[in-house]
Amino acid sequence: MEPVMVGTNPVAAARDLRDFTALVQEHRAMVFSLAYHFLRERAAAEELAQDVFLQLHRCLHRMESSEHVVFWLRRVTAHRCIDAARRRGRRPEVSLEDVPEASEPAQPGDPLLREQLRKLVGSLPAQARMIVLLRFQEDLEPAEIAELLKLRVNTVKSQLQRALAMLRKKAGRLEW
Amino acid sequence: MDRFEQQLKEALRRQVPDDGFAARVCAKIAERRDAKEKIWWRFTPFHPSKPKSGLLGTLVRWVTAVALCLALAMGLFVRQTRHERAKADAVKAQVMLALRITGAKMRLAQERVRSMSSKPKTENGL
Repeated sequence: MEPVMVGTNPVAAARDLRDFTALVQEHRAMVFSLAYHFLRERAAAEELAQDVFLQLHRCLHRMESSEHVVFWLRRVTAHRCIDAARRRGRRPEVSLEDVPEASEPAQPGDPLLREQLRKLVGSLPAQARMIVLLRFQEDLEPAEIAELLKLRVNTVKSQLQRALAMLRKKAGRLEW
Repeated sequence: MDRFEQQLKEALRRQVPDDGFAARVCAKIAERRDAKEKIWWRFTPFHPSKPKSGLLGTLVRWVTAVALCLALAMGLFVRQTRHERAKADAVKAQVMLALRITGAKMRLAQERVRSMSSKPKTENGL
């Protein structure tokens, strides 16, 4: 996880474009990774991340603290990702059933295993996918995810459990 | 967090976009800012893209400046006139109210006088 500025006011700091660049540098990995793991397309993820930062630049006067900026970025990125998935009017590119099962037990830190897992996550329904990303990429608690996505905590918990069960089922032969 | 979840976390760790991401974002911001500015600014004769020299350029700039001054003066005149009219209307309303009150008082006094003059006379003639 990248360091987050605490206690400084990003509005004052990012008034000019040079300081806004520093803000982008600080949060680009968070925004880009959410978009990339969600959309599974580098170009689309970069475009979405750029749009999120453009929107941030327009709304900068409303930001009250660094924490507010992080919360805002996560929320806007999450909603934009889900909207993008709906706009494309598609189910995940790879259906959960189409993800091939590994024939050999995976080793920890195996890049193939990581790719396999990313594909599995990419095959989840949009909302569940975002919940899994916020939980495991951003380390957020279900209550924080619920606040971000404007859902009930119980909904987040049940969706998370269901998504994990689906992922475990498919990855069952990988001997966790 | 069990082993599967740890692996998931490892697989979903943050990644950085291609180099120059922040510069591309800032370029887009600058581009949009310019586009927004150009909408009105580029039509004025003061925009840097307009010819700076030449009789026509000078004439157009002067005409525009005079037109702007006239528009400003016109605006101020209209505002002042409206303000004065509103003031006069308020005074008029006050005068009307005062006249209505005076009329009412006059009527009351007239009725009193009438009632006094129509009272029956007493024994001593008063």
